[in-house]
Amino acid sequence: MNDAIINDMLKCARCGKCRSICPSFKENKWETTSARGRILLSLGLAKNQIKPTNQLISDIFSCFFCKNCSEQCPSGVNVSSIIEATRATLFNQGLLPPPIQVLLNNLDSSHNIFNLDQDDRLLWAMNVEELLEDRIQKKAEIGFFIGCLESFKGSLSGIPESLILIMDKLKIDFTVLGEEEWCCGNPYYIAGDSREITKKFAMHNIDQMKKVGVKTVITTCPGCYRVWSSMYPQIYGPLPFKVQHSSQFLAELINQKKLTIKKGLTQNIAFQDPCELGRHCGEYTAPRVVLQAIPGLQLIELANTKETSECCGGGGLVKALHPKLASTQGKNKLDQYDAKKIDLLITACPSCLDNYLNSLETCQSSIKIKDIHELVAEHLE
Amino acid sequence: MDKDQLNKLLNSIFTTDSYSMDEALLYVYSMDASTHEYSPTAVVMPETKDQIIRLVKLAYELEIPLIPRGAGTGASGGVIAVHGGIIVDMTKMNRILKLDLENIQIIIEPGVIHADLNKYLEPFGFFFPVVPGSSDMCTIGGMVGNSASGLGAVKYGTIKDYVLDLEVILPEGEIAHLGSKVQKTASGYDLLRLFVGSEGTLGIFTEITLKILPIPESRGLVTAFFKEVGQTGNTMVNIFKAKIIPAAIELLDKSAIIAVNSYKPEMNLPEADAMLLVELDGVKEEVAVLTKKIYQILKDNGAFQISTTMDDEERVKLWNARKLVGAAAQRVYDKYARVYAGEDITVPLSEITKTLLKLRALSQEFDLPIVVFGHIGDGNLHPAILIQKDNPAHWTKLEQLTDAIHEWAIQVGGTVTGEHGIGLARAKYLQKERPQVLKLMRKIKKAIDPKNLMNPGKMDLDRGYTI
Repeated sequence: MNDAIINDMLKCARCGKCRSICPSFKENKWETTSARGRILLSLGLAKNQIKPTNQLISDIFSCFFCKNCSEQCPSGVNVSSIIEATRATLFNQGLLPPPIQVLLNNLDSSHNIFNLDQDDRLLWAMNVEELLEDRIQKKAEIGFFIGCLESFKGSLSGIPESLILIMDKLKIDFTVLGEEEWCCGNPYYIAGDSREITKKFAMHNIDQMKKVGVKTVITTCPGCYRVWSSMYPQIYGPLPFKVQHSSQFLAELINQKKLTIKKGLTQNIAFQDPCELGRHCGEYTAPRVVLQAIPGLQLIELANTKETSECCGGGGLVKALHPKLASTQGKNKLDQYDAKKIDLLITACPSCLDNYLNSLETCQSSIKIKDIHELVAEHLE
Repeated sequence: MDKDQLNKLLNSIFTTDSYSMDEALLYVYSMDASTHEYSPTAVVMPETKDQIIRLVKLAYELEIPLIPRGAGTGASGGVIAVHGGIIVDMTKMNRILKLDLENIQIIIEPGVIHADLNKYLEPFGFFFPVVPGSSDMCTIGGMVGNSASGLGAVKYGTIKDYVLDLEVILPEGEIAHLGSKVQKTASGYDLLRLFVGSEGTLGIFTEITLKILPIPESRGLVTAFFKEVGQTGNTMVNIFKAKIIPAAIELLDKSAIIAVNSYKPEMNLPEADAMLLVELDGVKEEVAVLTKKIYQILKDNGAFQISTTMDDEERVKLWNARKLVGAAAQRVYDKYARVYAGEDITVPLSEITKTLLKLRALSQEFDLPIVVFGHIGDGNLHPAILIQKDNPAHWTKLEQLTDAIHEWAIQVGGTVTGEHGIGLARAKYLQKERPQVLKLMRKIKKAIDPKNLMNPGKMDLDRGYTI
C-alpha cells in the first residue's frame, strides 16, 4: 500500500462523522462495518498489526462505495480510496470473497458479469429492433455504451430502449457496439483487481468506439460513465472522444432547445442521485435539468440530497456478498421517500433501479420507480 | 480463562452475531478518538437490559473487566480496554422509551445518538439543550458518562443539570435507579451526580431520563471578527456586564477560521485573528432587542464585519461548520494530523485572554501547530494540537506540550477537562488538580466496585486498590 494512502489513514481524527452517515454501519452497527472502522482495519493491515480475517474481508466488502464518507470527512480523508486500496491488497493476496471472485471469473471468460453469451448482448433491444437495424457497429457521431446490467437484465431493458426511442425521435446519429461491447470493467476496479486483463477490456472498448469514429460516447450507467471518464484515460491517455452520462447529453440537448418535452406531469417526484454520477463524478445538475424540462414537474428533495444523498444500496458489489444488506438499505431509502409522500421516484442508474425494484418486494411501499430515460421517452410527443 | 471457555460463556448470553473475538475486530475496538490503544478480549453488543445484567453477573463471578462504549468518539481514552476485558458496545441499546411531555422529560436507552434525540423531539416543540460538537456522532450514554456539555453551556448548563434519573447495572449485577421523575429532590446523597461523569467506572447505564425544554420561539446569531484574539475575552466579559447571558458564545481563532474555510469553502469567512459566534434565543421581541445590543457591544469592543442572522438555515450552516472544526483542523497544515491531547481545558473567565495568548506562546515554544476554538462563554477552550504522526520526535513534544497546557490550566485555577472527561489521557493530572477529591473518589470506587471490574485503569482510580 503506498505512502499516500497510509498517510491518509493516519490523518483520520476518528471523530466518527463518517460512521454517522455510513449506510452499512446504520444497518450492521458493528464499528468494523463503518467507514471509520474500515479505515482502522486498513491501517492494521497496512502496518501488519492484524491478519486479514474473514471478518475483516467481509467488512471491507460491506462498503457500498458511496463515497459519502470522503465527501463529508472534516479532516479531508479520502476514505473511499483507502478502502479501494485495501480491496486491492486483499485481491493481491488471493483473498476475495468467493461471490466476488465469481463475478470476476465471469468477466474474464465471457466479457460480461453474468457469464452469458456476448451474442445476446442486444436482447434488451427486442422492442426497438427496427431502430437498431442499421446502427450496430456503424460509423456515427454518438456511440451509445449500454453496460452489462441493462444489456442482460430484462427488468432494466426499458432504460436503453427509452434512450434509443429519444435519439431516434431527435434524429441523432448514433451507433451501438452489440456483441463487441465488453463490460466496462467497473467490477474489476471495485473489487481491487488491477491485472493486465482490466486494461485489455479498456483498450477493446476504446478501440471499438474509435473504429466507428464517434465524437461522443454516452452511457446510461453511472458506473460505466465513471470508468470511461476517470479510469480509461489513466490507461489510454486522453480519449479521442468526449464521454458523457446520458443525462448530461440530454441536458445539453435541452439547453440547445433541440429537445423539448411537451407532456406534463403533476405527481410528487423525487430523484435518487447515483453515487457514481454524483459524488464520484461531481454531476448533480444534469439530471435535474432534464427533470425540470418536464412541464409541471415538482421535484421534492430529501434533507440529504446531492453531495449528501444517501446510497440506494446498489453499489460497491455489496449485493454479491451481502444481498440482505443491499436490500435493507434500499428499503430504508424507500421508507424515507414514503415519509415525504413521494409518488414517483426517478433513478438515473441501472444499479439504483435494480436494487430499488428488489427492495420493493420486501416492503409495503406503493411508490412507483422509473428511470429518467423512461420518463423522458414517455413525455416526448 | 481461555478463549474457548469465554466464547462458550458469551454464547450462553448472546447470539453469535452479537459478540465477537475476531482479531481484526478487536484491533478496531482497541481504539477510540484518543491516542491510546489497548486490545479487549471480546466485544459484545447487547440489545436488552437482561443481557447486560447476565453479562455483569458473569463478569463479576469470573473477574473480567467490562468497558461500556458508545460511539467511540471520546477523546480521553475512556473506552480503551487497558486491562483487557469485554467491551460492551451499547450501539443497539438505542431505543427512545417514553416521552413524557407533561413532566417535560424523556426516557431513552444510552445508545441514542444526540442528534437523533433532538430530531425526535423537534416535532413536539421540545429539545435537549446540551449540544456537543459531536452531536451527529456521540451517544447520550457517552455524554452522561463523561459529564458532557457543549455549545449552549453558558446559558443551559451541562448534562448533569438535565439527568433526572439513571438506571444503572451495578458491578454485582444489581439494578439501581439513582433519581426519579421529579425535577428536583433533596432526598439523600445525590448519587445521580456521582454517576454522571463516572466514565463507566461505577456501573453500566441502561436507561437515562433527561429533562427537556421547549424550543425557543426565536433564535438569532451574531458573528463578528477581530483583529486580535485578545479582544474576544474582554468582549465576552462586557456581554455579561451588560446583563446578557447568550445561548452560546463560541470562539474560533485564526487557524480555526482557515480550517472552516477549507472544510466548508462556501462559508467564505474573512481573514481575522479571531471570530465570535454569539447566539441569542427566546421570545421573538427579546431576541431582536438582544441581538441589537450584542451587535453594539461587539462593535464597541473592536469587532469588524459583524453580521446578524435570524434565518435558521444560515444559522445551522454556521453551527455545523463550527461543530466539526476540531476534526477539520488538520486541513490547515499539510502533512499534519489532529490528535486529541490537551484539548479540553477550562479556565476561569478572568483568565481567558491570558490563556489564549499562552496557547499561542506554547505553540511557538514547542513548534507544534495548535488550532484554538471553544466555548469561550464558560471558559472551555479546545486547543487542537497537530503533529506528524510518523515522526517520533513529535510524539515526545506532544506529551511535553500537553503537560504544559494542563499545568497552565491548573496554575490559573482551572481544570484539565471541562467536558471530555479524565479517562486515560488526563489521569496523571488529577492528583495535581484535585488531590483530596481523588482520594475520596478512590474510596467510593472501591466501595461500589470492590473487584475493580468496571472500566478499570481510568481516572487514576486503580491505586485505590493497592493503597
